[in-house]
Amino acid sequence: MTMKPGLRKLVLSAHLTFSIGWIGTVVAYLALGVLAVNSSDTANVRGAWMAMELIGWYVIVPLAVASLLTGVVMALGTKWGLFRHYWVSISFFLTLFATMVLILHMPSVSSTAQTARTAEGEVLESLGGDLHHPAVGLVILLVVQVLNLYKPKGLTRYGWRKQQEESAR
Amino acid sequence: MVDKPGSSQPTPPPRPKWVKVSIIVAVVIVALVVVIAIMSGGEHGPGRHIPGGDNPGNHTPPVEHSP
Repeated sequence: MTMKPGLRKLVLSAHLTFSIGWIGTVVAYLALGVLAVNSSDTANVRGAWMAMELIGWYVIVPLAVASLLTGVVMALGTKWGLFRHYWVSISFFLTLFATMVLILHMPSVSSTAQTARTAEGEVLESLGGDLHHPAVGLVILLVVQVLNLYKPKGLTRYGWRKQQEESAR
Repeated sequence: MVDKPGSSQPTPPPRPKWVKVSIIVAVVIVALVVVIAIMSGGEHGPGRHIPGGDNPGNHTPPVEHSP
């Protein structure tokens, strides 16, 4: 089922907005993580963790889910398909992986933010930041962005079979 | 359908080079992450800094550090 051009552009606009927004907020999250690691001011550390929890649950998670869903709609609603081309399939699995890790990781962020709200002194200073997950996530999102932009050639076996079936009709 | 002698069955195209390279890179990265995770005791995430570990429901009172 292929989408009509008007609908395709609407879904594409939404997908680009959610995806680029996701990358932007991960960069903001990383900046807060760096602040939490480097600041000796307890108010900064506490504020950074509370902000990381807030943008994590209310901005990054919704953007990730929306990006994943609109990406699937774009793939299924266009000639590309979800499993016909390697670049689409790899983008899909990387986005799914990043979204799942994000959702599984956020309770741990909430737990640390909860500690940051009430902790003082050494306990607060020992919280550090959350740098590894967002850094790896950012790399994955940039890889997906490059794949989506360059669309490197390569049909999967399934895509090749479908192409054969369609050309035989 | 009977194949004529000498006719070749269409075969799927080989996996592109960039996919092969990506798979190798991904396997190396995953292996590195697993090794690092094992060497660091299997703990990761911000929860490791909290007394009580990574489990959000497992809060214990902060440990008093000696100076």
